[in-house]
Amino acid sequence: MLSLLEVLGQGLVNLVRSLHPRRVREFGRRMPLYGPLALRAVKRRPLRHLLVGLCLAAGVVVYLTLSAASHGSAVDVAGRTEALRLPADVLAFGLGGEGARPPEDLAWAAPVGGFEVFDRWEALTSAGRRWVVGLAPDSRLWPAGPDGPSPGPGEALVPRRLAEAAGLEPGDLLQVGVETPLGFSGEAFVVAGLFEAHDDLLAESVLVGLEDSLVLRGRLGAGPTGPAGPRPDAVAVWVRSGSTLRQTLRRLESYFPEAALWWEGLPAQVSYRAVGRLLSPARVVKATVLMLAGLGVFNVMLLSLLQRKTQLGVLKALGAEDDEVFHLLFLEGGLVAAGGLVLGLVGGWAAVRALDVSSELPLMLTPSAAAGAVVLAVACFYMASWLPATLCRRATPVQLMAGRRLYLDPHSTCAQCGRCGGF
Amino acid sequence: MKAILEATALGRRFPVGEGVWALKRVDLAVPRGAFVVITGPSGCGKTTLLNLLGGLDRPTRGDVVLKGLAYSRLDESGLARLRRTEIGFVFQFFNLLSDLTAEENVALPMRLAGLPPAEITSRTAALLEATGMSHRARHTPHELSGGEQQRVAVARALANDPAIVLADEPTGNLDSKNSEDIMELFRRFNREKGQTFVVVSHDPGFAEHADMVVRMRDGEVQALEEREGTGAC
Ligand SMILES: Nc1ncnc2c1ncn2[C@@H]1O[C@H](COP(=O)(O)OP(=O)(O)OP(=O)(O)O)[C@@H](O)[C@H]1O
Ligand SMILES: [Mg+2]
Repeated sequence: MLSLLEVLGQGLVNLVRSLHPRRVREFGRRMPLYGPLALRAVKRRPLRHLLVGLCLAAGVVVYLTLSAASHGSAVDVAGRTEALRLPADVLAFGLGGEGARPPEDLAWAAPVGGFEVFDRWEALTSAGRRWVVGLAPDSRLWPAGPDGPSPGPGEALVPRRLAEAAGLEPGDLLQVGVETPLGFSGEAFVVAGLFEAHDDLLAESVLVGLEDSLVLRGRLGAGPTGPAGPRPDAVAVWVRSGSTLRQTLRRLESYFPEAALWWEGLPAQVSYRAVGRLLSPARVVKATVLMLAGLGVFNVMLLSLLQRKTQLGVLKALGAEDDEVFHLLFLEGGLVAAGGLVLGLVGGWAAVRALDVSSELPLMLTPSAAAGAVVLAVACFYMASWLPATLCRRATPVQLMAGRRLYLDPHSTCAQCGRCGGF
Repeated sequence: MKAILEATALGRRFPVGEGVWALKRVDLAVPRGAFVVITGPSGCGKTTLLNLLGGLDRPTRGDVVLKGLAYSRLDESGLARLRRTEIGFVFQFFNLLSDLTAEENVALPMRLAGLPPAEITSRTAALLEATGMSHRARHTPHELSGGEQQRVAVARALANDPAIVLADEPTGNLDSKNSEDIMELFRRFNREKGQTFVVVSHDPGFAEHADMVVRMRDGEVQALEEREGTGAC
């Protein structure tokens, strides 16, 4: 097991080494010799290489079609959820836990995208123990949205359910403060309006202006005998358009490992879930198809090597260096893969056009999907070529010419054990 | 006479089962310009020895020195470069590259060695002429008979004017007429150009004209016969 890992590790090192610019340049100088050799090898086995090319092309076509379908659906769903009242792109994010340093942590949050600080602290109110949420005038969390009216200084908005439970009505006074050893210390806010809370974050919160919240919290903590003021604990973070919700969540979790994320029930989450449901089977199919294409390419590349052991051995015997033979096999595979890729891109584009005309599916082919297909096809070709090329690079001319079984490591214990049967 | 190729205490063990010593211990010095023939019963290690002499395989012990250069001091690419320029190979099964024509096969070692194209063209033509294959220059190996393929292989082996030509049963797959032709070709290059040859063969025709005959048995040299005129040049 260990020796297998060693062999694979060494293989990785060699792979990186063989891609060293100097070695590739050296091979480039030899292109007038090896280019035609590779081309000849491809042309002499047209059916086999056509099959490899088609295999890869089919993978790329399926990938592009599914990408276009899933991206189209994602855009479609996002378009539909925009109509909901709370902005779909807002997340609430808590800076809880000991040792949290909001200002520094917020600086870290900046690369995530636009974010808004909102002051959130636990207070004792005349309607019970509640969260006080201080929002900036243009906050997206205001029930009326960032452009709607927001309460003025000394005013508060209260969730309708909470107001009903506490018997509060617009115009009533609401005491907000903290308990100190000397009794309640706080201030009265006028209930300026009631709102329907659409999510858990706001359902238990009294909304006030950010200035009011900061001043009050500061004052409560400033007294000589009073306790330190309540800690603020939240920021709101916008997902920058273009970055996915999942990416943003991951980043936030890495910036603030101890914090809690509130986004259940937010429209962003609803649309995220909906799109995720749509995309997950497509992803599995995409991955499977590309894997199958890769396996197809791999098998044919391997067959191509195994059938030509003698020829490649002769090439080495005549003085071709190990790296050159390695690159030659890559070049052969690359020629076929490039053909397949071009065919796949054209075919994928045509398939999407055809489906667009003939079906109701919202299809959208993006440059990033094409780039993804290219990257995956190259990765596919690379993985498929690596093993045959490496086997050939490592084998001695004698092993190849005598048609002996090839092992990843022809010299050490790997070949001696031979239980896997080699290639 | 100074040896061009020298093997000292050469041994090769294959790691199968308990381990097989295909070559136990061979000391051999091949003089410059000599025609050396290696014979012996099947399985006595002739091919193994030739592979080690040609740097196609690494010995388990001992070393080979060609023109003062020890193989053990060379890494894989050094060894490849040595094979490219200093050693010519002729195999029993011809081993021409099937994708290439006769002339491309002959030109390949020169192209690997990076010779200028004009020189490659003229040398290729000369070699095909010398081996009597000019009229088949544009044919691929499967369009050639066994004897013709072997002639092309001989031309290829001589392409870079190597210090030594190693041939493993070069007539093993040919009828007597073609065998005679190939033998004659070898002798001619040995006589006229002073090319050193080491040939593994059961063919008495080779041994007859050899400067040295190495008889092997069980991975060792059993007898070494040096003939009149050893070290022809
Ligand atoms: N790769 C290998 N693994 C294990 N044993 C080997 C290997 N190559 C050769 N041998 C063994 O080494 C011995 C010598 O083999 P070699 O091919 O050198 O014999 P040879 O003299 O050339 O025989 P022939 O005249 O039949 O060609 C044989 O017993 C053979 O089985
Ligand atoms: Mg043999």
